[in-house]
Parts: sequence; structure tokens; C-alpha cells
Amino acid sequence: MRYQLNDHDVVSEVLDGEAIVIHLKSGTYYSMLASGADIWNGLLAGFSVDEIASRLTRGVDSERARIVDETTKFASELVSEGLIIAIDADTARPLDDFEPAAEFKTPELQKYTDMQELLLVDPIHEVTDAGWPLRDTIGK
Amino acid sequence: MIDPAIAFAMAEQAFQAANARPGPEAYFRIAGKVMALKFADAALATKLLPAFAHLEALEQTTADLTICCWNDFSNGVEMPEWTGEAGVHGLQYIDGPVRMAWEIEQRSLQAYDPNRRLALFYTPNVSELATWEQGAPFRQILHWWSAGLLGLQLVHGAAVGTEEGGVLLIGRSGAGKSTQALACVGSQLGYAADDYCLLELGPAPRVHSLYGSGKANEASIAMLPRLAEAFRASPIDQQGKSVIFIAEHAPEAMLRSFPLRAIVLPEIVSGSSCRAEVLSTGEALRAVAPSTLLQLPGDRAQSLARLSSLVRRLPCWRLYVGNNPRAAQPILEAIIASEATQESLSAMKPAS
Repeated sequence: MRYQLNDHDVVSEVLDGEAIVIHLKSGTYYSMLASGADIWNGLLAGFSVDEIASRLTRGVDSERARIVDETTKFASELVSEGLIIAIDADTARPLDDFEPAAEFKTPELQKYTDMQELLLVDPIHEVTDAGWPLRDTIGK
Repeated sequence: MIDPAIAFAMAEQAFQAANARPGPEAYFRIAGKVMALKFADAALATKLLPAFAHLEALEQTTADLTICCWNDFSNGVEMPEWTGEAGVHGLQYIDGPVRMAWEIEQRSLQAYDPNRRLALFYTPNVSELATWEQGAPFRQILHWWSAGLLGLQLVHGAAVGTEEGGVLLIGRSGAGKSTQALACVGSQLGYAADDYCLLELGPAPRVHSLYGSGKANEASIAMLPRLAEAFRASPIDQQGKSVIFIAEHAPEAMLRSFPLRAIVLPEIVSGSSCRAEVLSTGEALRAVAPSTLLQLPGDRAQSLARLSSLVRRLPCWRLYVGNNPRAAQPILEAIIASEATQESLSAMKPAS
């Protein structure tokens, strides 16, 4: 399975080994630590969970099953949070090269909801090119 | 449904009709650019101009941004009505050739055409203009405008310093950045913003003041003796906050621009002592980016990248502030002088 960023609703940056991800519709933001940032980079580069786990394993085959399992769970969590979207694995190809920055450590996803009130207090409808909803016109 | 560009044209037409007999105009310099404000109604100018009174005023000239402002009393012109689903407070269109934000209940509009650098600001009734709007007018427009310029970013943050350098105080609403910034009025540190300012990015980042306003609730006012009388003489809004214009009460404190030396995240703690510790770049980005991006729709991926680049480049500090924010000034001064280390700040005795 390959994934892509839910780029309509989500923006992200990776700095100093931490991925910071903001879901603009829900107001929730996330911090991905340990191997979380590596997995995030790999998923956004178009690599499958298996391909990411292989790179994180770094030749230590005894660890592979655990790394695949934890990477799979992490990717599922990112999907359920609406941060990434599964795409057709047969047609998708990795977009960029990807090399983990560090040895595998259980990925951590920290979730922050303290900014949600900004959106709850002031719910906004985002208008698309389909049109701006006119009720009356000038002079009517 | 109509094309948002047509909705923009309809609103522009409404302004032109309202401004058939042109009202007051004002020109200000912001971050080296010229902002022109055109008001179809003098009463609206009276409400919105004080926030910019500290900026350099210019004679009529070619503008980099023109904002056309009007209301229902401007020449009796009617505004187009736009609607939305039940429970939705506003409409926004942020990914096309124009940008529009319409608040349904208040019937107010902010819109921007980046090709013409022309903006529209409509509010139905000037007497009902919210105090926060008077304190920080055209926030949405200024974000859209600056996002289209190379190296400028509107940010949710306060700013204090001197002509030689200063800090950006970050954090969500209620984190203490406004109180800390206002507590600097009357000290060695000047005041550039308490809530929103413009950042000039690049190798030598700078803060540019947008608004000369300051806001505080009663708890904060009690910690601001220099400004307490002015705040208490101002009306209290629905959120329990009063807004004043610093240039009216302490003009010498206002700073229009300064080099940005560091980023500081205040955190309110019990007691009266203050101390600082190094803040990771990730924590700094988490403190500044969500609150900026969620309040300023449009160009968000670019805004996040710009803020990320900024926190990478500058020292970032967490400032623990007790019930006397003035006690933090020596720490801020040391941070600004780039003399701060974790050890030196731990050993520093706070000002009484």
C-alpha cells in the first residue's frame, strides 16, 4: 500500500528529526518523533510500508517483523487521523529517494487539540470554483 | 452560485457607487511598501485609522496595496448578500484568482485581488464594528497581500525590542505574549505588536509593526501599571478585553521595525520570578505555526515553510513569567543582545 498527503487539508514540515503536521480542517496538529518523522518522509515520498520498513531494518533481519508491524500500525493511525490517503499501489511510484535519518525507534504520534476551539467558535465554509453562493443582488 | 471573481467585481462595484463622492484617503509605509486606504465614509476612517497612527504617513502616491473601505451608510449603496449552510459563520474562497472572506452574521467582507493588489473591506454598520477589528484591521487582507510578496509573512505574535534588535513573542491566545509585550511599555524595550506583526524573512530577518494597538483583560491590566488607567478608560468587549492605542498614551514606546534576534515563547507560572530555557525548533514551530495558520486562511503550506525556515535560523527560548512580567525584561534584553546562554540566564536575578 502506498499513500499520499491529504494535501487539501494538511500541511507539514520536518525539522530536526520531528515532523510537525497541521490538519487545517479539524485544527488538530501533530508531532511525529523517533522513527515517526522518517516514516512520514517515506510515505510522502511515495514508498510503501514494506519499502520503508526495509530501509529502517538496515540489514538486521531479526528486527524486520517488528519494524513492519510498527510501521504498518503507524501508517494506519495517520490514515485514521486523515493526514494521508491510500492510493493505488500498482500505479504509484516513489516520487523521491528516501533514506531514514536514524536507526529505528518506535514511532510516536503526539496529538494536540488545543487550537480546535479557533475553528469550533468560527466554523467556515470553504467555497470552491463551483461558485460563491449569492442570495440577493445589488439593487434587488 | 456565481463565479467568485464575479462576486468580487460586484463588491467592487458597490464600493465605487458608495465612493462616488470620494471620502478620506490615507497612505502609510509598511515594510518598505505603500498601503493606501480609501474610505467611502469618514466615520469608518475614524474607527480604523488609529491602529496605523504610529506608522510613517505619506502624501498621496502610487500604492503597493490599496484597500477600499465602505459601509451601508456610504451613499446609501446596498451590498450583495451571500449565504451559507446553517451553523456556518463564514464563507471563504482562498485558492483562486481572488481571495474572499465573508462573515455571514456580521455581514462583513474582506477580499483581495492579487493581480491588481486591490482589496475590499466592507462592514455594514460602523457603530457595530468590533473592538478587535478596530485594533487589528484588515488582518486577512494583509495576510493575503504579504503572502504574495517575496519574503514577507504575517505572523500571530507580539514583538518588542530596540532599533538594534528585538524578539518575537509567540504562543496561542492566552499564553501571555500580549501582557509581556505591553509590560515593556515604559522600559528600555520598545513596542511593535501585541498580537500580529509582519516578518521580513531572508538572511537578516526583521519585524515590521502593523498595528499600534494593545489589548488586555482585567487580570493583565493589574500587571500593567503604566497603562492601567488607559485600559480602564476604554470599553470592555464581549471577551472581557479592552483595546487601547499605545501611540496615544506612550508614543515614545512605539517601534516601527527592528532586526529580529530571537523567538521567545512565554509561559505563565506561579510566583514572581522569571527564567528562560532553550526551546527546541520543533516546540517553537508548534507554538507559532498552528495559531498563525488557523487564523489566516490561504497560502498555508508556504506560510508553514516560511515559519519553519525562521525558527531554524534564530535562537528560540521559553520564558517562564510569574505575576510580574516586568521582571522578565533583563532576560529579554540579554536574549536580544545575543549574550544569552542557558547558564547566564539561570544565574540572572530578575528585576524587582
